[in-house]
Amino acid sequence: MDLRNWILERVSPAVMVVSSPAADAICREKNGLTVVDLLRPHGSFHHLSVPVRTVGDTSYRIRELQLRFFHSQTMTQPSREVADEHLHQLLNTLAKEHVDNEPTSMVHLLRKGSLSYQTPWFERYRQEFFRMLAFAEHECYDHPVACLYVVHVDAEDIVAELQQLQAGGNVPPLMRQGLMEASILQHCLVLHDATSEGGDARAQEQLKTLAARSNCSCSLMKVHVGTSDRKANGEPGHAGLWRAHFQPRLPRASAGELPDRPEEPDQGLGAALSSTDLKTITQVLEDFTVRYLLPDLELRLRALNQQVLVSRKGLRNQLKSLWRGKSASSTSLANNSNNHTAPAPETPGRTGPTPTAAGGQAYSTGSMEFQMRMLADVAFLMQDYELAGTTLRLLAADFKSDRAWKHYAGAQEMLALASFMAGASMATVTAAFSEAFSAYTEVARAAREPAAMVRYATRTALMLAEYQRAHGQFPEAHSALLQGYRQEYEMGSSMRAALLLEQAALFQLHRTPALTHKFAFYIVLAGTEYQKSSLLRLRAHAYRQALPVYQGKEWNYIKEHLHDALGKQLREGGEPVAAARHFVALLPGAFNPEAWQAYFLQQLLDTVQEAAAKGKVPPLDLPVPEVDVSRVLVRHDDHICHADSAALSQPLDQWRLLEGPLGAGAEGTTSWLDEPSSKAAVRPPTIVADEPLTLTLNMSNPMKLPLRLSHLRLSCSHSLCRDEASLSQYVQADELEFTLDPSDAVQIGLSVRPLQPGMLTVDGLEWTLNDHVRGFRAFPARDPAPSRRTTGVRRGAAVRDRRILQSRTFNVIPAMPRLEVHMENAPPSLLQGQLFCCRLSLRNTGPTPLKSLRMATLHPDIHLAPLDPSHDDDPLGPLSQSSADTQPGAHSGASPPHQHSPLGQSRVVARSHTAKHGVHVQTWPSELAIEPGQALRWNLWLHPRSYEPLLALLSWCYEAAQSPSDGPRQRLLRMTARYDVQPALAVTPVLTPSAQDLHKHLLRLDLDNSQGATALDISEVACSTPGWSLTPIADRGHAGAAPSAIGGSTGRPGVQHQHLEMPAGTRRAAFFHLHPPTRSGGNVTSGVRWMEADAGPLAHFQARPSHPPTEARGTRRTSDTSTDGASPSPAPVPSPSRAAPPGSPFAAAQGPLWDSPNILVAWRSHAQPASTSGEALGAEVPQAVGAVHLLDCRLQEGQAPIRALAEGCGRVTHDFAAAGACSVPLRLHLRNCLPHPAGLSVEAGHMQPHTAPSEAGAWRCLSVPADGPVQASDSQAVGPPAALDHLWCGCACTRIPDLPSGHQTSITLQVAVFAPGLYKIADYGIGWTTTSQGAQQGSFPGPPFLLQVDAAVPS
Amino acid sequence: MTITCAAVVGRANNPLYLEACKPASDEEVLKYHYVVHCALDTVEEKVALRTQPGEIADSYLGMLYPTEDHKVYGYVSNTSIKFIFVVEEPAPKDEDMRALFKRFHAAFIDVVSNPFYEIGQPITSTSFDASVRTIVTTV
Repeated sequence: MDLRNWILERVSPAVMVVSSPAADAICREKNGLTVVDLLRPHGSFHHLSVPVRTVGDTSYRIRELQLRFFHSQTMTQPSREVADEHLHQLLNTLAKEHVDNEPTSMVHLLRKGSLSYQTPWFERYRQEFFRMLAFAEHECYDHPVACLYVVHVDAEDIVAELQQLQAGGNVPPLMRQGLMEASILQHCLVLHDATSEGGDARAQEQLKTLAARSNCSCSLMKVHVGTSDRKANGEPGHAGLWRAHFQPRLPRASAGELPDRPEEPDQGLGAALSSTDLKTITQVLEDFTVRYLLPDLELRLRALNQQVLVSRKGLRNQLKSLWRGKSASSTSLANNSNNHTAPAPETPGRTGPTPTAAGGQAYSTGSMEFQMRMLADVAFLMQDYELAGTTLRLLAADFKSDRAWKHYAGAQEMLALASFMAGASMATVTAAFSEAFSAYTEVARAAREPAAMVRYATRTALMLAEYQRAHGQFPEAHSALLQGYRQEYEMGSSMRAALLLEQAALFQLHRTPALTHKFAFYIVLAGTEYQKSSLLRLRAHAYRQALPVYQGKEWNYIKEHLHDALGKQLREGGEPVAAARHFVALLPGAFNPEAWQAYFLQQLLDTVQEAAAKGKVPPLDLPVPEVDVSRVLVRHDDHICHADSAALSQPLDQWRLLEGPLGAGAEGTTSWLDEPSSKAAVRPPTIVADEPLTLTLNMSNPMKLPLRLSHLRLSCSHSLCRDEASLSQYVQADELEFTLDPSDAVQIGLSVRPLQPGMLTVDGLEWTLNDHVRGFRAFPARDPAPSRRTTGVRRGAAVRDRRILQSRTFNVIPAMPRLEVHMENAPPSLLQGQLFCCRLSLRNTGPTPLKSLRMATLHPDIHLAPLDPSHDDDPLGPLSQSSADTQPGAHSGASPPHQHSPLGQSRVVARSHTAKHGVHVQTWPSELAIEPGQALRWNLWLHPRSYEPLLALLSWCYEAAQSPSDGPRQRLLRMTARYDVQPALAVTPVLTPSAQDLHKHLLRLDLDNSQGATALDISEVACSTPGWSLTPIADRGHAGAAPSAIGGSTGRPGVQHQHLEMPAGTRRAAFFHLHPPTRSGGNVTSGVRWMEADAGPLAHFQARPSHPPTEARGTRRTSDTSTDGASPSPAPVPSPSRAAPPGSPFAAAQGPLWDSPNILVAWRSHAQPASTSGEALGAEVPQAVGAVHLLDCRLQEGQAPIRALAEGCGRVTHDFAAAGACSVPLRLHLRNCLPHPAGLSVEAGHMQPHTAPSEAGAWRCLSVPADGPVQASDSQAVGPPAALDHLWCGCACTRIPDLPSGHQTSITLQVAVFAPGLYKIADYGIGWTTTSQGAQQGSFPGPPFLLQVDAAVPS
Repeated sequence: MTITCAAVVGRANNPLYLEACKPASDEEVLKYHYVVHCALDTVEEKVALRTQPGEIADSYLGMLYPTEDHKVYGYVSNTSIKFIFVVEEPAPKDEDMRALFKRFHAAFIDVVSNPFYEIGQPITSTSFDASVRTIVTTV
């Protein structure tokens, strides 16, 4: 409220109304109003301009004035008990009107910056509280300044009737006691009913009669002229005007109100009064005010001022007062006054005021103090605030000297108001209020009824607080209210104490910064006080205001106290649903012992049952069990299906790379045009009708009690569903039921299946706790904000994580075909190099057929068979028959028949090709359709070639057989195949040229099964390169190597086929001759093999390099060479992985003669790798077969490009007696292994003997058996070179100008020895030069030749 | 002087420790919660006003506010941990209270130095409880 306006309304002239019964009856019968009710709305004058002059020489104008009208007998103060009872009932009524169960939180308003007063009951209470304190004997502004007699014009003797009213004794009690001024203005109002008989002439005649014969002024008020305005509802147009001025009634006439009100007529309040009547009443009252009241007050004020000037003002009077005591002047003044009631007899032995029955002191109207107070109050009413203030200061000093503290406090209170209205400083006003408060407090302490006196102190505190609040001094206002609270608290008036505390708490919020903690403290204290006074709704309101302060900060004891109190109160008040919400807040109470938790839980259950008995109970936001709704994983399929969670977790780029060649999906090709705009509306995710939407979330039980959960399901709504009863026709939700033990945490998956297209909204989770309480937890309604990835995509690109629930709304499109791929015999793990045939079941689980099936993968270790299982070639050869008994599904021939195959009897061929980025795409015939429920079986070969988990991505693309009217045409299925790979056989080839043949190579295979846990049999070593062949070499039995069993040839070139056992943890070596193809082309591998390396899946695996680092790497070879799946015979693709170093002669050696062969080592195990989980120990496990691909075997670095072979008679017998020198021919075969012609030269006798590098080739250095006389001439001898024991004869240097590539030639050398013995002929060298493609040259020692010469025994 | 309640309040004004130092009913313990919570406004006011530029802040805040029966004293650490004592009449000397708070602070440091203590969680250490009881009983 505005303090100034409030003061103008509150401290305004009071007019006592005395009406005749006839006049009163007119108003009651026709309008349901009393005369006072009729006048009250018209007592405000806002456009006056009345010049008045009070005590000074200058006049001023009164422009606004408010008159208060009271029945004469109601101008008395009710007793404290009556007033408090009335105020208590009023508060209860107001609380019912204004307090609801969901009040606006002041703290929330504060945080939003829109804090406003939310306590309308306080405003009304304060108004009524002040009304209850009106008409006090120690203040005069409520005393009547005029008496208005109202008589009816129809009275037979109107003068007599007026005199009867004047003599009727209808005066206020205080006036009767002489404590209220009785000499006041009297005015007679003649009420003229226009509808009555007689008319205006009689009314005028009566008025003249009355004016002539009565001793007071008169005026005529004509009512009931015209017809009343009506509202649309039939109510009189001005009914609200009268009702707005009604005041609550008390049991007895007091506080300005009668105990009863006239009955409201059927036509409504003021039914007979028209707008003309209202104008007439206003005009009459304004005329009364301007012509009679204000002049009378002006004269009265001057008279009072004159009396005060004579007796109390001026230096002489002050000195007199000090010297003789003012009582003398007071008494004399009182005795000289004829118009006033005689003063009360003075108490013997004491001067000053008279003690009253209430325990206070009273000054009679004749006393000087009363006159001064009257002067001050009339001056205030006349808006001469300076005069009022001056008089009150003087008066206050007198009261103080009299120790009349109540009057002193009243004077100070009025002085504060006058100072405020006069514009005095805040300090002056505040000091006056504080002084008044202190004085009232002092009076209360000494009073016989202190509680009654404390009310005045409270009134002062309220005015002071309002004054300080209006000036923004909230801390001071808070302190003022707290002082008032303490007084009321001590008096036991908890109602006012609560109100004061509540307002004091609100002031804490208005401080800067807001003191929310103190606000909460005081508002809770206020609630406690409300509870003491049985104002429970207000207590609940106070507690609810405090709750937000304590929320979320773990002040659990306080929160528990508040919620428990609120819950119990609401339950007792018959609001169990609202009570249950507070009892819910008591859970889980993890800090409470188990017994308390059980008590709170039972309290909740009882309340909910009580509420259920009354009606339906809405789901509660239960905190138990704890549900992590911040991270809810969602699983749904749109036009892209994910077979498993691993497929969802793969980076999107990998899938895009795969699906690009399939030509499916919008996600396959994205550009900056496709990036979602941050401002554009994000479309909800899409799901397909009749397919499940699965949400996975975590749930835990924080209590020390087990919780039984039933009907746990997702709460959904469908856009087409209008009522909850028919929801089951649109949505089908799964339900769970289980018990959560204390402190348990579980992860649950809940599914919902939309049955119709439309918009599906998943609102949250609902369940029933302990079979009674329905709980609900809403999922956060957040926008599907995209998450930013830091790697893999360009900066700024935002990608949504499909796995996390980001939108509660889903767009349901019509049903589509749905492909589900199942691996029927998926192994738990594989051995490195194992070849496993996995049988796929491609089933259409959708309601419509599908066609145009395609598949794409990048992984080189998997291969989808090109033919349907019934026609697929068997790549395992003869072994397949033997292994089929123990390895179900290990090959295609074991495929069981199926009844609903879409294949029929025709042969289905899937075409395959390698697309961009090395994506292997397999396409089924477009006419192949899979009907709903049918399955297509196909073989998938797995061949992990490295010791690391096999993770392959497969993307399947298909189309609906019938083009859909709405939604996408194509659909994708993303699946992963992941297998653990256990170590098995590792093979390292070492290839060296053969020393005995210019064509052959020596191959040593280091077989390593040291890391494996499975015993293996090496079943076959084969060279898969066309034209190349292998022949075994018997094991020399060197240290550390077991005798090889691969010794026997099967008679088939290129394939060696015998078992070599490789127990777990062993290493072995095997040795072979490797025969390159001849130019004639006759040596070609043929015949039946154990494992077809050049056909079927092995050919596929051999053609694709082993295990690329990642699928997404874009640096793959690109070849669009399409091959027909019907004749899968891919040419071997040389691996570029082992290229010769640049600059070496091998760098250019890419011709067919220098080609590197591929070698296949096939093995089988006695047992499959053990299952990690599925298979029990000791169970029979099938046999496994596998292969190791040795691709691109090459000679070791450092081998000469020209191969040489010395040939001759190694042992000769010579008769040295006959001839001293023995000449032995040595034939040297030379072969050009370079890809281009080369010139050769052989020089004998100029090269140091060649020292073979040890441990470098297939052969190791052997010690020559010393079983005969050896005259080795190794150059390793220390010292000067020994004399040669042999000589070269003939041509020492032979040149071969141009030897074509791949050709060989022979030259003959002659060496002569002179003594028998063993000779190592190695002192010759071979040089070579090339002219084409850059001249290169080199030389190397010739191969050593051992020559044993025996001396002939003479016959 | 008798200390009736000792409390530690965390950075986010969450209670870390609150213990009645005398035998107290549930209502009295609840009242201490309210009183300590109410004191936080004054703590924040005093913390905001206590330092001038270049001045080293004093952790001891003095009396925060009086209630009808008690006086509430406060102390704030550099890490915004608030230590609060609710004291019965007569009013203690500031130097005594400062020394008590320093001991209280030291006991708290011992607790948070425990690697098994999770910062920001309520203190349930029995040794801390014993330390606080020793502090308040030696007054």
